[in-house]
Amino acid sequence: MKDKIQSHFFWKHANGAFSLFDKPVEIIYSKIVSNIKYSYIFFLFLIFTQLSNKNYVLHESMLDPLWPMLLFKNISPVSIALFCQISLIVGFILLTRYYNNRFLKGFVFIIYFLYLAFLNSFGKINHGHHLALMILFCFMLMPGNKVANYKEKTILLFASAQFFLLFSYSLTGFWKLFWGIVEFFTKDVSLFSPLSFRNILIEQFQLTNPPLLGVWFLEHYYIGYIFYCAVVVIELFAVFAFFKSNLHKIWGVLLIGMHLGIHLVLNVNMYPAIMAIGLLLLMSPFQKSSTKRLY
Amino acid sequence: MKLHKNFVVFWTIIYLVIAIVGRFTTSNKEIFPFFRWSLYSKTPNNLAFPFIMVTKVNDSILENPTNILELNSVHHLSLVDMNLNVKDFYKDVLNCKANNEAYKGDFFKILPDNSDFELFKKTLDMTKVDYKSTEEVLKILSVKNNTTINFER
Repeated sequence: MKDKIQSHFFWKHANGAFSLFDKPVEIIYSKIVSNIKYSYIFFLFLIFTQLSNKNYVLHESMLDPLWPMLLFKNISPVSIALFCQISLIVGFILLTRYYNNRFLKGFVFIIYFLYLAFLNSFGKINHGHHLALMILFCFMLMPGNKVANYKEKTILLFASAQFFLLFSYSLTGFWKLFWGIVEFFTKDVSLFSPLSFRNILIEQFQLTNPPLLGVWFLEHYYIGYIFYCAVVVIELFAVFAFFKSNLHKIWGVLLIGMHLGIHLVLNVNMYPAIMAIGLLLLMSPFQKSSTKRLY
Repeated sequence: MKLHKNFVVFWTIIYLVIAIVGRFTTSNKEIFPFFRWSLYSKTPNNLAFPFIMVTKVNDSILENPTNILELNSVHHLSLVDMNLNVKDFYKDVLNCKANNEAYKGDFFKILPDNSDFELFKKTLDMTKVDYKSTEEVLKILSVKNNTTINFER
């Protein structure tokens, strides 16, 4: 595997110290297959969390249909929701058995895409499920067992999914820093002031009741600002962690810790993002095991 | 193999291009599902928070004016969705006011016919340490029977 990507302008950067491809192809591939099988159970869980969400289905029509929903805007939301949920539940259950069936993978990706478009056609686009959709997209492109070099291709696509995940966090950090610099010169309060953390809390708490930790940080915003700066650093450098296999689990823990903090302080949940981090980083197939097996 | 090797770079470029084009060309500022991941990127300096107090739903007069966010059993929208609809309504109302036009948007579909409500705006100067003392609440307009808008002059 190392030889095949050594000269590639992108992948050669993942081939230095703590290379992603140190382990034999067979071992990486078998771990990826195991991750994929687990993932469909997690996806099934995600769909089950949506079953009790009756808000959307009680409407006569979608308020602001997104472009994939324009064809279906005259169909009642309850019919769309039921069709998508039943299709996804059946699809994910079948995929746990036939995990490499390309038709099933394509079908599930398209229905999940339409389902997200539907859920986001009521005014606000929620980005919680975008990373989960990205994972399904990469899984869909993974080749079947009869294609030449299918193991190497599967490994590259799994690594690409890891890159997209970490890149999206780096973008979040980049925009915070970018607007922080712009606002440093144009506004009174920017990222470089402890009031920035406090102001984000104030704005957020106009809408939701502050959790206990949120109220505490509102009073002690200087302490919260230290955590806020740490979050910006974790986000900004996330993409660099991709190129070193020994950083995958560390960054996975940091990002999940960040989401836990956001949940406790701001009361904002992103369960699908945590699922994506768990599958791609915490269970990274590229990281060498720290304990040696005695067999 | 070549396609799979280059996929990560090509798709990143395609994704970024569509995300940036969506930022500048669409009302949602994104083309689903391409997003530029700019969550919490700007620091709020001044808060202008529009909110709606409902006084009548259909033919039922409410005992006390109630924030529309709390009337989930009537509009069946999540808190975040409803808040975004209120923000969009506020922006549209300001545009209508500037152009001297009557509001004809979709917001009236959210509550049943013959509902009455009032739109307010809460402002805070968050550049001050003591931001609470800067709070102001301004009434923007009233809506009667979901059709008539009386701008407050």
